Amino acid sequence: MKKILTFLLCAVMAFSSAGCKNSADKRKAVDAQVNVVYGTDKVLQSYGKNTDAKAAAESAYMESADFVAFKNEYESRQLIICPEKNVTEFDVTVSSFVSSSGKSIPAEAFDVRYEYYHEVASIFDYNSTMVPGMYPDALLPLKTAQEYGLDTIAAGENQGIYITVKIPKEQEAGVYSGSFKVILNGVSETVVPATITVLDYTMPDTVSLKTSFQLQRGYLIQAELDNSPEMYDKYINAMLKFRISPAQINAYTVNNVTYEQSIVSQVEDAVEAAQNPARSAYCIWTYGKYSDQWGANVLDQDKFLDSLKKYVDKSMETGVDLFEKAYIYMGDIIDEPDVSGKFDLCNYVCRQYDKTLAQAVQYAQEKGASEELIASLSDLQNVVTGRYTEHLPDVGCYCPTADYLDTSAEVEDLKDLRNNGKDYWWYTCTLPKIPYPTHHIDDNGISSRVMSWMAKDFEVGGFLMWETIFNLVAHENRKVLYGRELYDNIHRWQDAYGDGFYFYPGLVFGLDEPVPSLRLYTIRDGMEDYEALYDLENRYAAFSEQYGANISADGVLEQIYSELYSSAKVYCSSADIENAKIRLAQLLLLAEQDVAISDFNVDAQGKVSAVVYAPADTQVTLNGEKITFNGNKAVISGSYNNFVIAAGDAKIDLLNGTAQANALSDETLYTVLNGQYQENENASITKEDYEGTSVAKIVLGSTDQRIYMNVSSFGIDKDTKTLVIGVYAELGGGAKKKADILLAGSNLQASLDTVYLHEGYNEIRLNRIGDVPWSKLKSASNLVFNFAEAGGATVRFVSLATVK
Amino acid sequence: MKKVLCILLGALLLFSATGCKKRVDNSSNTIEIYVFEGGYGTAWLKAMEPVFEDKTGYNVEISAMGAQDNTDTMIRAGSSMTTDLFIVSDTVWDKYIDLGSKVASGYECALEPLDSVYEAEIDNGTTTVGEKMRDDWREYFYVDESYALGGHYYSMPWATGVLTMCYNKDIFDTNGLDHEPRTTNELLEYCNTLKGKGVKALVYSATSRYWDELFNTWWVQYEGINGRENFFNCRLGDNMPSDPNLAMQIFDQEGIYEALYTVQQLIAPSNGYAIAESEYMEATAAQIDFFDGKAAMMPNGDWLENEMNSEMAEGMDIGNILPMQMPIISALSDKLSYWSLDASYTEAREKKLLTETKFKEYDDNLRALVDYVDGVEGAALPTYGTEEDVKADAAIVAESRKVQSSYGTRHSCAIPSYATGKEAAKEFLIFMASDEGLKIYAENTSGSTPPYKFDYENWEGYSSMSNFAKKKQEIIDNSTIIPAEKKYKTSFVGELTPIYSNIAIRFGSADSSTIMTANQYVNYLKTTQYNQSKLEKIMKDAGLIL
Repeated sequence: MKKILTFLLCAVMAFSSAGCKNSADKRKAVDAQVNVVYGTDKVLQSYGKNTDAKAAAESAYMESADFVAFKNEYESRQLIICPEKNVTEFDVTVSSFVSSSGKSIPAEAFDVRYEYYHEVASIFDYNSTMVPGMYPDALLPLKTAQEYGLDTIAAGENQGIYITVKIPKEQEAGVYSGSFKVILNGVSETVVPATITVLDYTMPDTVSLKTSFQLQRGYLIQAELDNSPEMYDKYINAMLKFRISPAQINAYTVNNVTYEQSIVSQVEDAVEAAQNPARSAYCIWTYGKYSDQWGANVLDQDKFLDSLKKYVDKSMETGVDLFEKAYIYMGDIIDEPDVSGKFDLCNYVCRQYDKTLAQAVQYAQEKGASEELIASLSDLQNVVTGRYTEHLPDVGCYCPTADYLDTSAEVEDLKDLRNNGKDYWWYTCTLPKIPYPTHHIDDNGISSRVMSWMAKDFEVGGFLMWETIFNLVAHENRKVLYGRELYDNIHRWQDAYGDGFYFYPGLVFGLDEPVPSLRLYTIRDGMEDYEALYDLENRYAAFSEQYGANISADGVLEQIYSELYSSAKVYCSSADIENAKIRLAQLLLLAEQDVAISDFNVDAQGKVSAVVYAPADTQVTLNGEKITFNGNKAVISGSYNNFVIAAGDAKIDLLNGTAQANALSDETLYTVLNGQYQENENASITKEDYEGTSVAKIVLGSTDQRIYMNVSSFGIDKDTKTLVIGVYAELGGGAKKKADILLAGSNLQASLDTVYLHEGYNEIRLNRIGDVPWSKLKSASNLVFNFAEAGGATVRFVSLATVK
Repeated sequence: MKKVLCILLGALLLFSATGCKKRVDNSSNTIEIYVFEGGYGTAWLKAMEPVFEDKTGYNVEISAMGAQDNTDTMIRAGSSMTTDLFIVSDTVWDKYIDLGSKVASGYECALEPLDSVYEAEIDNGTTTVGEKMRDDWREYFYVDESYALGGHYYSMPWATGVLTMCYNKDIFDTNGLDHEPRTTNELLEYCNTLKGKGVKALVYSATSRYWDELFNTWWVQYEGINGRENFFNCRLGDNMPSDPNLAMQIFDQEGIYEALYTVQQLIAPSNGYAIAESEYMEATAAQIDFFDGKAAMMPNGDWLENEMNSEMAEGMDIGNILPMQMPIISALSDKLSYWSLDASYTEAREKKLLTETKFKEYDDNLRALVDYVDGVEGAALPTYGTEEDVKADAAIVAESRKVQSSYGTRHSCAIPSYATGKEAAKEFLIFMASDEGLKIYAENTSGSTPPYKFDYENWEGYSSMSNFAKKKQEIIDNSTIIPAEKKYKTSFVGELTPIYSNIAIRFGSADSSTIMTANQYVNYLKTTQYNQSKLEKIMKDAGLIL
């Protein structure tokens, strides 16, 4: 009886859904607001009583969709449709986009997608400003959404449409005008004007930032009812389109085939993977073997050595270096040892790895492999999830969570490790939490895009993600989800939404390929940004040879980074990133003309300096005035409110504010305290001339640990962008001294950064001062230098520039 | 066609509805209660149900759960959930206040303020719920203004949950132990005495984590509530700011070390005081062993009698099993006037400055002080020093003697703000606090009471209560509670705790790769679980530093 009832019910439901769209409503005119937001904004389907969150979302609304894109780049915007009455069907069309010279962007360059909403019932991140509600993530082709009757909008609710344009490589640079038309109920039309500015620079196809996204074949059964190699390849290809690389080379890189079968196919497919510019990296698979001694799996060294040998042989046979993009990740054997405390096991496995690698190198040498191949093999990284700790000395490549690169000192520590032969990547999972970068659904899209800028800035070697299509509910006894459940249940970890999965099954909607998440688009935006940053650096390095000088993009890039973040925390807006991308674009356009801006700096006295290089016949201006070159080089230094460098159609203002210098030589500005916060009334604080500059000299006594600098008259407030502090440090033979720098209010302190002071002159930049919670801090009375250890230094404070 | 379809659909729905489980009436007249079924059982709640329904006309529906894993999920489910009143364990509600509108869609706060409950008059208008609640408990449950939604009460207790060392007085008497141990050194001496007579001193269940609570008591006896609060605020002293550079030193609190050391000494397999299988025993099995006289002592809670009554089919007689007033941590001596060594207690022990003579002298002084503050018959003010100094010492010891760990700070009730029956639920809470409610509770929990001022001794059921029940009430009446860890933001945001890894396993394991000394445990905390960077992040996430 129950089965009959069920059948009947389903039949009735099917009939009723097909007949549900009231034909009378279909033709009813309806007023609607149609606004535009950036591709990285998250606008919920509705906000209920959360008026603050609604206002914050709506503050990002724009009236027109204006794209700025490189050739060969993807760029996205969202239309947010909010009707006053129910909408029973809608469509979005794209007009032709034509430039003033008559060129057009082909229609097939546009991809219009329907934003599917998923429930985020609760927010777990204490410092998040997001609210519970229906979040967009799965992006269905609009046509598919229409076929399945999803193209309805309840009155007063939002419906997002994600529009992406991929600018063809051959597209002529210029401004293309067009529009998007929203048609509701077949009768009401809203036209949203749009422009696409195509810049005269081509995004490289190459993906340079190594990524490792695990792709477990077993999950495809639940998602697509098909875990064949063909389906697996579809997912790989889908990932590569978003500039992320699966860890596995192919479907056979798993444990449900024999090792012998697997290694043969891995090595074969590695040849293609190594030469595929879209593939940044792949994992040479390792296997575990149970050890009675350890009571756990350790590395199967025999299989690993055999694998490496086969990779060597194939490299030599094909002339393709199969190690250049390769890495090792033994997540099944050692994972997060800093959390589990399994230091000894981890060190042992790492030593096993090193020993086996050395054997493989010897093999390669004996076989007569080239020096380049041997070097590549020797550099093969063993990525271990976990932060650096002295208890893990044998790890080759540390991979902490992203929040562990939160201060200048932490980044410097990792760079020192790299200088000593180690390496570092980073990863995210359910951690870190907002405001650190995440890939979570209930985070904004800015976070995942800015992460790539941070990766470049912090020189992170790669990004690791533990899974791409996780289809279980971990906190409900790993309940399996199937089909449509995968769209409607995104809460798969106790305290995170979206961790470990980035695609939705296409099968549910009759699609032959996986449905990407909105997060993949924002991640791709970041990966493209990274590629552009990387390209700029390379071009500047090439300029060094061209102009016979040491030319570096560090200064100009530091200036752009400073507008996005001050640590690993994300507070910037979509507009901030777009602005940063446009500024980066201008630098690239200048570079296209062989114009480089090296050694750019705003110092502690507010002086701006730069060295501009350009070909002899290229006119370059500074604030509209022609720059006079000495050969190819012009040295610029002075006080500037603007610093606009222009050549041809490229123009960039490198300053984001005006610098005001404050002398620091007045001894009365300072108070020195010991480790117990007791003032040292006899502290050695004097004013002196040092190398021609008036400074305040403070000699730290053996118990002196804190210096309070009274900054109450320096005008530091929420409108301050950057502080630049000039300090001479004399460390008495020590290499460097760690100090927290805090901004102190009346009874609270805000941590700005932790830095190392080095012997000699230090210029410390503290960015995004506006991100300090000023509502709690109220005002800035002191800048505090809180040294990790007392004594052992003489510091001379020179100047402090506030940039507003 | 459409009409036919609609009728068919309606019929199908009707069929399916009649074949379904009975739905709870989610009206404002029904209180759906989700209750933890643990040591106190739920007989008390089921006994209150008909009395309350008769008095008020409200309908009560009870769902009991043994595990508490679902509370967070249910709270976050928002208005799709029908529970009106949570009576749960192991939940501190402050984190939901902190999360505010992030908890459940459409609600500024997930919890209903209970100020009107605290202000409600009860017992014929002679008092209010808030006035009747013990002062330290009422202060504990207040959510202060440091939270944006603070300045209100959002939860209240439903049990006191005192956890202490319980002992079999018959075993003590048989083996010449004629009083409760007054200090931890005396406790260890008792263990040694029992061991020498072939008696197991201790049994416990490692998984129940009751040693954590004894640790907490000894920690706070030494450092004071303020000292523990300083730990969770990552500061080294009352007047020190939360400083990431110094924060790692919070793990160096002597109270933490000595409390860990005490637990470690009691359960280290090499000392042989505890039943070896304790590492693997479930709580009930360990309790049965204790009741069967296989060990003299067991850390447990005031629910022990009720729990064993419920577990045993024919009920059981608790006999001469009693809760003891927690022994004072012997390291407290280094804060008292007679301490003459230029080192802390720990240093003195480790550097062997604490000779056998000094060891005995100091602990004897401490025991004498305990006798004095306990008002033991014949115990006079000790004479080891000036009257002024000794009285000052006695005041310190008296303060420490009152410290008592309590599960009750986590056994609490709250009403979701989206509950349909919230007014009815508030009435129920008011009823629970009334004398009538407290009597029903006591009758059905083997004499337990939530932390209200209740004239227990004049209650008609008092005379039939066991000595266990009477003794635990004495302890409760003379105690100061320790706030639950999760009351502190560094705990619920960052999981800051000095007992991250189960100390019963770390100190009592037979597995050599697992077992640690107290020193190793503290190092483990400072290297594996926490480091300066992690602690700094916890401090920032908790708002201790901006």
